[in-house]
Amino acid sequence: LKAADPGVTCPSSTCTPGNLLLGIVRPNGHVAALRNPIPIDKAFVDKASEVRRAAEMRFRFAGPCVTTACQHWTGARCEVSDAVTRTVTATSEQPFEPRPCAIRSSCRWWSQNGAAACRACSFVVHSRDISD
Amino acid sequence: MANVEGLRVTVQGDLPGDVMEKITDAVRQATLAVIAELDMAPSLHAQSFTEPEMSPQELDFDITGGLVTGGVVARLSGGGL
Repeated sequence: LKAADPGVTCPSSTCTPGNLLLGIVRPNGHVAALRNPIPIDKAFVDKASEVRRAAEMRFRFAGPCVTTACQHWTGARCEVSDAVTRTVTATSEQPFEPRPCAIRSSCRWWSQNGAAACRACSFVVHSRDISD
Repeated sequence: MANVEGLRVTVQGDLPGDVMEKITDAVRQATLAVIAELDMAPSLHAQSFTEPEMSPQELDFDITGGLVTGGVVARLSGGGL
């Protein structure tokens, strides 16, 4: 898929060659972010597909925001960003200082919800295993 | 201060640049192959947003070629994952 809005990055994309490995899901379910996201290639995708659970359950990837080609695009916004930001904002009272992020300048979630989206980001896992 | 270094892979050596690039690429591929097989995520039926704030956890993955005396040094330190 090509970006429908060139230059805008989805921080919860799929394990696809050319996308960036953004983080690894830790045993507690939170995401350990890579300081320097790594472009993934077909070799990584192939290797990752050998594991029973999908790569999107185990890692976070960044890729082009495809807007209308995504089920979470409302027509003007990413509903995932709004949903996770709303939830975290409602349950967090402590002040928050966003950490450095390699994709922030182009991030769809950041552009929509600013620092509140960053606060939510490490709680987000792309997929869950419905067979578990 | 919490350990914020989850993973760092460094390739250093007093070798010609093209050799260092080959070695770095080989280490990068081998490391990525191991990462690709990681499966630490819990079974998530619903993700709670109400857990206490975490201290920042970062996974630093950085492979660089450099020149030092003493030949090639590959250093991997784990933690923080």
